[in-house]
Amino acid sequence: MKRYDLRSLVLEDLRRSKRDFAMASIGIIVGIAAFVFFLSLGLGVRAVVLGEIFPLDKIEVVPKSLDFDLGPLRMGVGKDGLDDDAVAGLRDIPHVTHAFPKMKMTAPAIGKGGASLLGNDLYTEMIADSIEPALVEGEIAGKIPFLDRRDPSKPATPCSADAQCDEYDWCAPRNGQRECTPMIPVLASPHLVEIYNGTVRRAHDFPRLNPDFVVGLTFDLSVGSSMIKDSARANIREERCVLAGFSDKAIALGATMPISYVREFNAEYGTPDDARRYHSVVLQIDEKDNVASVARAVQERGYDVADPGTEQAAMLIAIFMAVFGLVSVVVVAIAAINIMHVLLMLVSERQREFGIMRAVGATARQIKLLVVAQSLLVGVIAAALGVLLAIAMASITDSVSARYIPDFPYKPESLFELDPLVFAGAIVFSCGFCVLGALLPASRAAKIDPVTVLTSH
Amino acid sequence: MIRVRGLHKTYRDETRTIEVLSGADFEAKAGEFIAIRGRSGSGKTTLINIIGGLDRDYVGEVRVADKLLHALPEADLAHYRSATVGFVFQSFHLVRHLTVLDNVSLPAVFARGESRLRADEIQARARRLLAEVDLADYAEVLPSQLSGGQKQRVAIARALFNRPPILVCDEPTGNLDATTAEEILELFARLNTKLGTTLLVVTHDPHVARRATREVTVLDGQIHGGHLHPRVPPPSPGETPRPHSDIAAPEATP
Repeated sequence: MKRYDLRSLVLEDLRRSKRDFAMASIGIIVGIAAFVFFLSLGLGVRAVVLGEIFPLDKIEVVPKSLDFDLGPLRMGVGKDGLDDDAVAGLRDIPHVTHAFPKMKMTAPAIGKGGASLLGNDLYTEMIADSIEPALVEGEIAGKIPFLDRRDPSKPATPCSADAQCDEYDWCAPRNGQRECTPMIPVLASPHLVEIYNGTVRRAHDFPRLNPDFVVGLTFDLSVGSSMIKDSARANIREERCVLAGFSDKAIALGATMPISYVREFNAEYGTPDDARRYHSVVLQIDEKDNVASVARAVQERGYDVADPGTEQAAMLIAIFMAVFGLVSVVVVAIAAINIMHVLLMLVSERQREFGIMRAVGATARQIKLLVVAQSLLVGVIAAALGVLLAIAMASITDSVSARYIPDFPYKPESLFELDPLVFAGAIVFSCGFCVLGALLPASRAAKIDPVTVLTSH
Repeated sequence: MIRVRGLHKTYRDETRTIEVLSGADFEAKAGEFIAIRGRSGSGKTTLINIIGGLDRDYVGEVRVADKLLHALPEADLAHYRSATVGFVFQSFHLVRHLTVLDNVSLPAVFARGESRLRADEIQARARRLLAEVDLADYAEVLPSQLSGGQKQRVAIARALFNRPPILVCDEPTGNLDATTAEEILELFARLNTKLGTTLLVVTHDPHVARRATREVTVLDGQIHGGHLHPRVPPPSPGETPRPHSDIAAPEATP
């Protein structure tokens, strides 16, 4: 004992009874490890599901429609789209910071490309939609800007080959000649890469795609043409698209362009209404907590909120975390009862010591503090070990997951979100239970009558 | 210094009630060395436990150093036990797992307010006390490595740590051989004459009682006192100490 205070006595007592306390604290270590492990796992899964798959601070508004089945067909009755007035009305809803309309391309188109990546070109019926570039402003960090780079005031530059044009321009056929034309920047959904890497590439033995390296990939787009004979139009417009980046605001299967292009295609290949109607509007909300009230306001205005399953996913994760959290609480509570038994035993064994302390001037409160502090220290040490165990278990799980679990869409590098706040919470939680467990033994120690224990020979 | 008036103390068990002190009166002046004698169960230990502030379950007035003990709150009574009295027990009551030095400095752990000392002051005071009881070389050993007499000297050093004006001792030589008992008595006499410490020593041993300046007897719930006798000098070198076998077996404290 070097400090001559209560702390030194607490440490000395712990040292003396280290075996008893070590046995008693195993439950705390396991309980806290389980608590931190499952909470971190839940937070990690939640971050992927709600952060990447279902972003929670945005909702997508769609026109209300009543669908019913007619044999093999599903018929929808209701508005076909949202116009500029509807967008303005949605923008006025409290807590909505921005409203970004989305427009689908109603013209048929065929996409062709991929030779540089896969060895030969693939052809596909192209599905595309469009967004305001402002919706992804600051999000696309690549060198290719996601905006309409055409400048009508600039005179056309004739060309005979792509090499004669600027970067991200191509030598496009226009009005019977060829002229340098900006490529259409497009966005793809991260879902596409995940689906490709998780499933498609395995079936065809293709290389794994790194999203950063496919940015800049180009493909040709023949607007007006279609693999379905009756859908093809007489006038075909040749365009070239360049992949500008990935965004969760992009269409899940297809390509997303700046809205000005799609508006132009729809006007050229469809009716004037096709160039004015939006199929949905993305509302950016100031805080996640206000999502529910904005959704209610949207429905009151006669629109629907596209439900991507966010609520169900959030609820499942919450249930998962609650169940495992409860199991951990029970384990720690049982361990705290165990600590209480150890302390009761020690108090009983050390009655005479407590009597001596009272005789040399200790107050009942100091004796109580001595016992509670022992338990508290056990709680802190056990919780710290529990947290370390949880981190080790998380690391092993991540390592096993990386090595043995096949890739799947959105498979994160780590399944866990190791948050220092969770660690601190676990330590507080452990200390709380240990202090509770120490109250009865501490009270008994404080009530020991020094006369009885010191003068009975 | 100490004034006890109309002290009643009763012990109860399932079958009977025993009043060991029934309106006892007692007084002690500062610097007295008082031997308290009486038959086993007469209430001697009870009396010093009450005066020492360990026992609060009594009726009557106990005033020590101008403090009315039953009026003191629990924390103040603890401070009183720390600063005003020192206890020496027959069974030594050292803490087994603490070294001799740490046992002596144990009262410093619980000191509060102005009584708190710095670690270096605590160490220095404990070592000085150990030197005074001739145990300077035993500071770092455990009590289990000491003889009975050495243990009692450690207990006395601990009791003196906070420099209390009163020392209450319950059969301090009861577990010691005659030579060692004599050393302890000599130490008490030194404390009494050099430091002016008031000593209340419960004993069955007439030889111990003769070393005191006054002897009181607890009998039939009353304290009969005032028997003054000159201090008996310690045995001279070469003289065989008085055999200790006539010391009564430890009393069963009620």
